Amino acid sequence: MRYRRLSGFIVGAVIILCGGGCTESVSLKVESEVPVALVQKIPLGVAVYYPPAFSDYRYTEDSDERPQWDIASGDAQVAMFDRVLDSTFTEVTHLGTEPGPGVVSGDLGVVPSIIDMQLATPAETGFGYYEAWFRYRITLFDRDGTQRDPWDIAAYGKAPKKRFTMQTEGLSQAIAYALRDIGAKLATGFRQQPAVARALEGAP
Amino acid sequence: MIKRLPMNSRVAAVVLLGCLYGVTGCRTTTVVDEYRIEPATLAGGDSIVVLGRRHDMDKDTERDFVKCVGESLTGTATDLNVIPEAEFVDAMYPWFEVSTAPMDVSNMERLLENPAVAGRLETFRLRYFVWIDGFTETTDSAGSVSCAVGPGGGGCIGFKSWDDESHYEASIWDLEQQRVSGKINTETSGTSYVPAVIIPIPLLARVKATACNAMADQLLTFIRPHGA
Repeated sequence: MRYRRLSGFIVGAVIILCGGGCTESVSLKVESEVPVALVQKIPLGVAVYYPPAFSDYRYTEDSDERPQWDIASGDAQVAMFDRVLDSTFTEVTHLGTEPGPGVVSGDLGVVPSIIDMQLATPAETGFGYYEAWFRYRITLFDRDGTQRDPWDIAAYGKAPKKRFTMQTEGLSQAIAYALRDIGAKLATGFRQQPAVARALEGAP
Repeated sequence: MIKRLPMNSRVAAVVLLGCLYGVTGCRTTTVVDEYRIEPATLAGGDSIVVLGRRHDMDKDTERDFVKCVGESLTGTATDLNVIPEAEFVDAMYPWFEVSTAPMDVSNMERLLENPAVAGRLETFRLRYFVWIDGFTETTDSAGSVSCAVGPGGGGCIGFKSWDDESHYEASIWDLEQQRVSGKINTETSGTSYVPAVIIPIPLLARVKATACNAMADQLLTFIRPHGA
């Protein structure tokens, strides 16, 4: 009888603890695979540099509403960029330093940076979706290392809330869809950039 | 702590709830409308793709619904060649993403000017797009079920019901003629119940599944294999 009471207490305590706290903290590493882009390759050699603030990017927050949120999206961002650049340009090289005067950057230098990342959960918005927004700035450089006007891109992804799934799964899916959206805008938008048109005019 | 009912009272309660269910039932009703502009016939080897619209901020066409319709079309005697949505969208990336997908059949002409896109669609031997726009939602609910766990055991008591409604529209685009062949609407509603005496017994109206079957059945009458 004593053990039965004890087991009942333990079951109740687990239910209370899980209901109150198991789903609130978030620790995840975003895994996303963007497909190869079906676009006509731009006949340019592009050199890309990923600043550490981009390649090691983490969204962190520790507030009452979002205790211990730690979302690492840097690797997924770099993988998405590599995939899109490989399918959009004929040649891609990686630089260890930012392009500029005296740094060989092929026909076009590309440096992505993340301006902002925002997340929302169904509990916060009242909608049945996890949502993710990204704002990127793509800085483009001419062959001689001259910096041209930056290209700003906003992207959005959402994933439906499902019963009996963890918050991390919904957020991870929303971020993955947002990365797909960025990839789509990059793949379809590079040709419209003045710096790309200029490089094409000067290409051998 | 739940006050335990005598055994015969519990049996009576279950029988009462069962009778209630028998009288009212988990009924679903479906209304299907079709607007046909021209007949849609599929030559041998040609294929179709079923895609969901997801451009609204607060309501998406569910991926599982689109998958259900596609699979229902495949697993029939007519055996239509249906390309799975995820496979198609990945193969056509980035042209059928939420932000880039053509919203109107007239936009297809511009897309087909891209030789890479035209070539991939040719590889698929794609003839018809079926764009599904809609969703299933819970419109009303009543009652409640309370559960408790104590040292002596646990259980639930109560009665809950809710109404689900689904609205879906399929727009069939003819890629060869580059125009809309027709549209199909389905509207389904149903009520689900959960009576609970110790154990909750869900009696669910399968509204989304019913809407999926209705949509697939109507699409099968709309898109016919050549010679059928």
